[in-house]
Parts: sequence; C-alpha cells; structure tokens
Amino acid sequence: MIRTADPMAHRARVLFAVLLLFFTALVARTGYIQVWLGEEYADRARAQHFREIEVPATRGSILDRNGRVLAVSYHACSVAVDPARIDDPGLYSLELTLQLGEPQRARELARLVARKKEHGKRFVWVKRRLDREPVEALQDGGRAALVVLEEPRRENPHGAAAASLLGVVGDDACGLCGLEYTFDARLRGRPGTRYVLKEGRGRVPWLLFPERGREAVPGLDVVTTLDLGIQVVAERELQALQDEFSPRWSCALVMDPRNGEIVAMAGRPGLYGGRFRKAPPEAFRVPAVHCNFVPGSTLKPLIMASALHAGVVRPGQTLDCGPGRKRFGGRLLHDVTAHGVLSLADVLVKSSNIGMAQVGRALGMRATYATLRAAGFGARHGIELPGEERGRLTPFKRWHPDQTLVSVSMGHELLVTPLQLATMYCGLLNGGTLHPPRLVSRELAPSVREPRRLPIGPDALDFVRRAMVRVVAEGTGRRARIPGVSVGGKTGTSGKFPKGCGKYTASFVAFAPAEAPRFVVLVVADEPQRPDGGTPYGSIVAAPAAGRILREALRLSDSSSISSPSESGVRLKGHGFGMVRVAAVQSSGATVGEVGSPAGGRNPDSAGEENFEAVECRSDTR
Amino acid sequence: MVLIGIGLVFSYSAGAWAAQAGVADDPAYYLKRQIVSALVGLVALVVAAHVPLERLRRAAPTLLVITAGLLLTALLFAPSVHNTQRWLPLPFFGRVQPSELAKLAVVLFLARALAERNAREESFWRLALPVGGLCLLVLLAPDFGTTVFLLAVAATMMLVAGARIGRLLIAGAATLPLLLLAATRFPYVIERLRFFRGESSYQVKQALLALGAGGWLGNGLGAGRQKLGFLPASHNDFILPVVGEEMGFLGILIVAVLFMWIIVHGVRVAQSARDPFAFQLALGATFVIGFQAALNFAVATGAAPTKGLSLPFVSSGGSNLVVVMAAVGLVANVGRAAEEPS
Repeated sequence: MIRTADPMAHRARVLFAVLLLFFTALVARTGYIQVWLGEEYADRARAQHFREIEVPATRGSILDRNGRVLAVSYHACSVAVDPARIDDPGLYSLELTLQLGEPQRARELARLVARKKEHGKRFVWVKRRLDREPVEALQDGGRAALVVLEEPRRENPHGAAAASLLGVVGDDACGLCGLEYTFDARLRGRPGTRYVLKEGRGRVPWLLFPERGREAVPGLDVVTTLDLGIQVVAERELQALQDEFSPRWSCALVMDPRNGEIVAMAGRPGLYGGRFRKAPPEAFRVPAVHCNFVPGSTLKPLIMASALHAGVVRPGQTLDCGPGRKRFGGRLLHDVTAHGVLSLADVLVKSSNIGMAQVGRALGMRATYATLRAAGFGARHGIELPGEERGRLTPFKRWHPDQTLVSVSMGHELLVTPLQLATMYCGLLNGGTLHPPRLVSRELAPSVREPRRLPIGPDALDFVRRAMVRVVAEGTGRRARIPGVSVGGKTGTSGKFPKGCGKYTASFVAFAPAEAPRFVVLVVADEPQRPDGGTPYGSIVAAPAAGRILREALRLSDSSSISSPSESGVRLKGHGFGMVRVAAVQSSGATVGEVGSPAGGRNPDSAGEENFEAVECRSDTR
Repeated sequence: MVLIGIGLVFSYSAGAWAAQAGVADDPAYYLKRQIVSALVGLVALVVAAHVPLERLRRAAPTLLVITAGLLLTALLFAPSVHNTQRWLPLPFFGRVQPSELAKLAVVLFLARALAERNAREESFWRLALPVGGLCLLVLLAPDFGTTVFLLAVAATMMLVAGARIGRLLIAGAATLPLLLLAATRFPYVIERLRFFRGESSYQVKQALLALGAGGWLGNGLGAGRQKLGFLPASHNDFILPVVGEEMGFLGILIVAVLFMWIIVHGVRVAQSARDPFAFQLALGATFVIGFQAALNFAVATGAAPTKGLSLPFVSSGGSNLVVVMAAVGLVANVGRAAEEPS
C-alpha cells in the first residue's frame, strides 16, 4: 500500500489539487459568462436566431363613385421550380411550358434551370401571378420540383377602362404610375411582420411564431369620382374615334361643372387592364393631363365672356368681319367663309377669327392675360396624378398687341391641357366658380386647392352659354345634338405649325342640360386624319363622340339616381379577358362577378383589341 | 461505487446529446451511434475492470506497439477525413481514432515503466523516447491538440513518479522546436492560436453566445438554438455550450461537480493502490479524464485555444467514449484490487 507520506502520493495530491483548482476556475468563468454577462450574450444570440420577415398587406381597391371595382388585388399563384430536383432540365422545361401553353419558352427555361442547377441554386421563376386553376392542373402532375407561391395580383376587372389613369402596380406591390402611384401609401396598407426562427448559415426559416410579430393592416380603398358606366362609354366612343380618324392621341373627359369632379377620363393610346410590360411609353400617359395642345376656337368663349364683363363689348353690338380676311397689324387673318357683319353672339356661333381678334383687341393685353391666368391656364391644377402638365402661356412681357393678343383671342399661341380646358368650361358654366378638378373625394385629396372665382359676372357667362347652345343648335356643333335635350358646345380646330402642313388638333366641348349643366364633355384628338382627306374639323372629328358621350352620361346618371346605392354590386357578364374570377379580397363589400373576354382567348394584353360593349353594366342592371 | 458515478454521468450525457441530435437527417443518428459506442465502452469498462492488473502490466508495451502500428497504418493508408488522417476505417464500427487509443497506451506503458524504475536517471530517456515517438506519430496525423495532451499526461505521470523537474523541462525544451515546426507546417494551428490571441474565433464566439443565452437555468432540454447550425461541432467538441444553453449554469455545475468527483475519487483510489503500477495506472487514467474535461471547459469558455478535444462521456464520438470508459474501468480495477483482501 502506498503511504500517504510517500513523496509520490504527495506529488500526486498537489498535482491534482492544481487540476481541481484549474477546473474550479473554469467553472467560475463559465458562471461569469452565463450569469454575469448572460443578458448581453443572450441578446446577441437572439438577434441571430430570429429574423423578422415581412408579410405583405392586401392592397386596397380603387372604386368608382358607386363602389364598383376598378382595380383590385387578389391572391394569384406564382410558379417556380427547384433545379436541384430536376434531372433533365430540357425535358422538364418542355413539359412544363407545354402545359402552360408557352412551348416557345421551353429552351430559355431549360437553359436557366440548367445553369442554376450547376451553381447549386434552388429557385427559378417560371411564371408569376397565374390563376389558380392552371396551377392546380400543374400540381396534379405530381411534380416534386414545382414550387407554388401565393402572390398578390393586381387586376383591373374592366380591362382598358381608365387603365392608364388607374396606373399599374409593380412586382413588389408598389404603385408605379397613375392613381396607384398617387395613393400608394393609402392603398398599400402596413405590412405585418412575422418572426421566424432561423438556422445558421442563413438556411430556410423553419418555425413560425404567430404570437410574436404584427398583423398586416390591409390597405384602404380609394373611392374615385369616376362613374364606371360613363367611363366605359367614353372609352368606347374614343376607341371608335381612334379607329376612324387614327389621331396620335385622343382623350375624352367628362366633368361635373358643379363641383369639378371628373366623372370619366379616357385616353388613347392607353394600357390594357394593368398589363404594362410590353406597352409603349405613350400608353402610360393620361392624355387629358399629360398632353398639351393648342385649343383654338374652344378658348374663344372665355375671351368673349371676359370682354363682356369688362364692358369693352356690349351684347347688342355688331362686328364687321368683312370678306373673310382682314389685316391686323402685319398679319392677315382668315375666316372659313366671308361672314360679313356679325352680331357678338354670332362671332362665337360662327367661330369668326376676325371677330374674336377685334374682341381681344378691345379687351387688351393685360386683361386677356389676367383672364387666362385666372382661368387656370399656364399652371397645374394639382390633379391626383403624377406628372401633370401645365400648358404654356407666353410670358406677359413678351406679349405683342398684333401677334400674341390677336392669336390668343382665337385660341392660338398658347398650350393647354384638356384638363385645364374642361375645368375652365366648368367655371364658365356653373356661374363662375373655378373648382379644381378632382379624381377623388375631397377628404382623400386634402391638398386640393379651394375653389376660385372667375372674374366674370353672371350676365356675361349667361351670354356665352346661350351662344354656345346656338353653336349646337344651328352652328358648327350640330353633330353633337341630342334629341330632346338642349345641348351647348363649342368646336375647336387648330392648325399645327408650319402653316399648311395639314396637321390639326380637333376638339369639342359639349355640355347639358344647357340651363344648368350637369356634365361638361371634352373630346380632343391630335392630328386626326379624315378618311376622305378633308380638313379634320372639331365639328367632324370630335363633336359626334362628345355628343354621344354626353347623351349616355345623362341617361346613365338619370337611371343611377333611380337605382339604389345598395345595388352597386355590379354583375358584369361577357367580356374582358380569360375567365378571371375576381370574387376576391375587397374591403368595400362590392363584388364583381366574372369577367370574360369576347375572343375567349388569353390575355389580349395589347391595346386595340378591347371590347367595351360587354361592360355596359348600367343597361344590364336597369 | 465508481460504476454508479459513471452511470450517473452517462445517463446525463445521454440526455444531453439526445437533445442536440437533430443535426443529421435522422434525428436519432448521433444518439444511435453513441448508444452503440456506449455499449462497446461498457464492455471495455467491464473488461478493463476485471482483467488482472498483472496481466495489464505485462501487456502494456505490446499495447504501445499496437497503437503505434495503428497510427502508422492510419497515416499511410487511411482515407483522409477533413484533410487529416486520424481515422481508421473498421468494419461494423465505422471508423476509429487510434490517437484516442494512444492515451490509454501511454498511461499503461508509463505506469508500468515508472513503477519498475522509479524514474531515475538512466531510465528517463528510455521512458521518454517511446512516448515521444508515439506523440510524433499522432502529431503527423496531424493532431496537434492530442499531441500536446499526451505530452502533458506523460509529464504529469513522470512528475508524480519523482522525475526531476529540470529534466522534464529539458525534455520539454527538446520537443518545443518540433512542436513549433509542426505548428508552422499545419496552418490551422497558427490560425487557432491567432484567433485565441485576438478576436476570438467564430466557434468560440458562438459558444459564448450559447452559454450566455442559457443564463442560470437554461432554456430547457432541446430548446437550445445555437446548435441549429450556428455553433459548429455542437455535438462533440462544443457540447458544453449546448449543455449550458439548455440547462443553464446549473447544468454546467452538475457536469463540473461530477467530473471533480471523478477526479477526487480517482486520486483516492490511486492512494489506496497496493503497488506503484496500480497507483500510477489509476492516477494516469484519472488524469486522462480530468485533464481532458478541464481543457474542454477551457476551450468552450474561450480560455484556451480551440484544440479539438472532446468532453469525456458527454461529447459524441465513439473512440473517445470507449477509451474514456476503459479508463474508468482501469480505475475501478485498481479500486477493486485494493479492496480485495490480500
């Protein structure tokens, strides 16, 4: 037996005592780390264990004034594949694309899959935002490599109706243009967050903690001032105009002069139903807001009313317009025909340039310029669309009494937007209040300016209004007549520079009922071509369309005043694209049934093929 | 008595790695392997506890030679794993690590040699050279950590046996250039040393985070998150932080107390030994367990450079478990022999 006094045992005891001491120190250190510094380390550990991921909110809908859906988000299925699970990219891609009906993409997809497979990547988009049925059909094939994700898809159930105006939503669910852009913050909602436990090296999150994180707050709806029925009519008429006269651009604008609300705003070229990837840049324009043009004669009533108000001309006065041409300073002006001596009202009815030049000269440069500014020309109205044009007025210090004044009196040497012109007419026709044009309710557009007064008295306004009724009854606007309704209007035809180039901008303003107008309709067509080669006067190109839009607007608004608001859940039948089910997420409660396409085909995503007969919803519900 | 203590530690360890076994595709992959290893270890323990000490004593040099042979075989023929050649493939058992066996071999050999000669002048080099040769083979694997560990075990046993400290220092000085050379030859060693000196390595950082996240009482068995791919080698070398995260400081304390108990008990058994060989054997075996545990604690808490030494009994790793259990068996053997009436 080894004695405890043995030096070996002694040494052993000392050594192992050292070992124990070492051990104790280490345990103490562990305790220090765990308990003393614990919280700090624990925080850092938590920071790497959890990741906050964003849960997108459902985007709000854009509705018309009666609660009918213009743009809505619903859950669509996006399809991707996991290259690691595909043995033969070529064959797989061919099968998949065949089933999706796009075999032409097979080669491209196969190449992509093969490359990603090589790099060990595990995700390749195949097609995004599909309907549920075809995706379910794909899944029935039992493909292990198929990845199906739900993504929100934005749909304009009414196709091209106001499509450019509504705008588009990009892949990351943010509005890119139009109302979708302007009201993005409201529509978008607040994304929720979800905490997921993650693995090291950034591997897939694999556990969800519903109790932590935040619910997504769905976006709010935006109720516009548009009336879907009237909008559809405007689109249809504009398309007809486009088909007949093929202008560079055209627009139809329907406003309520009593409050400046925009009831319909159609434009060509335009988008189709939020599909924008292959659309040309012009299709994103809303011509009523983004295009300038020379108004020509449609500006004359303003100058006339201002001159009357100023007292420089009197209602009973006559003006000598001579043989149809007259020299002003160094300029020779022409009328269409020799009008001879005209009453003041007839100057408007016959749209005499020579007459208007005299009125303008009587009014003077300063007053004319002030009138134009007061009517909102040369400045933006602040409409709820990005990129509004402001038109162009010649700066006052460069005005010339023989040139500028004479030109402006007949609506030349200035550029206006259709929106400015229509707004000005609203002011002329509602007793002189210039309501800023609006696309949404006042509450939604707090930045909209207060209404202004036109510096024109009621007598002068009355005079031009009645003159404009005669324009339709007996003058240049006869083509806009509506049986049984007293309609007023004014034509405009402006030749483009250089003189005699044969390019014109044709416009027509119509309003009714004449005594207390409910609608002002403006139709503008830029560089229209008449099939017979004649001059494309506003009376020929724009007046018929404006008249028909006005007629339908009156009819629809009459019927809508009868139908109760609860009936606003509209059922659309027939046309559109595919058979898209939009029985979708709508906070408004309005449901849209099924929208289909006349062609029965797939995605007519380029403009030009639309068919609007389908969506004449009012006549269906009546 | 020893056996009961081992049972405690062992059952504890079973719980711990059962909790962290989700690493492989089969959640119980490591658990199964560990159970198999434990069974083999149990056999080793019982055998080691019952083979007469005299027989062990005579077998010691043979074991050393066999170990050297295995190491050499691994070095020359074994497929490399993680760029090293530490493992020998073995039918039915997957693979074994001869360097683990080297720990036992060194202890047995030194116990016998020291008991015979009392580590006096002329015999010192005869002892040091075989051990040194073995260490060289381990070093070439390359396994820097185990080499240092073996040297430390050898030095301790010699010291206890009465070797002059000065001579040990000379031997140490002699091996130092070799170690330095090895360190420069194997860049990972330098890397680990550098990590230790300055900014701690990723592993150690993650180990500290795991310990900190555990706090006093831990997150509960199986609730550890660091093992989910953040903390590398969480099932073997760095199992301690997992214990710390899931069971808290309390769990660590329990583990530490068990190890200390093994150490104290081992020393007691050694002192009750009947002859110098038994004494040295029990001491060496205890030291193998205790020192390895202490080093693992040091590494896991960032107090020492990472070495690749596992925590006895708790870490998964078959060879180590078998060897460590055999070491326990040796201690038990000595204890039994002491209690038997002569």
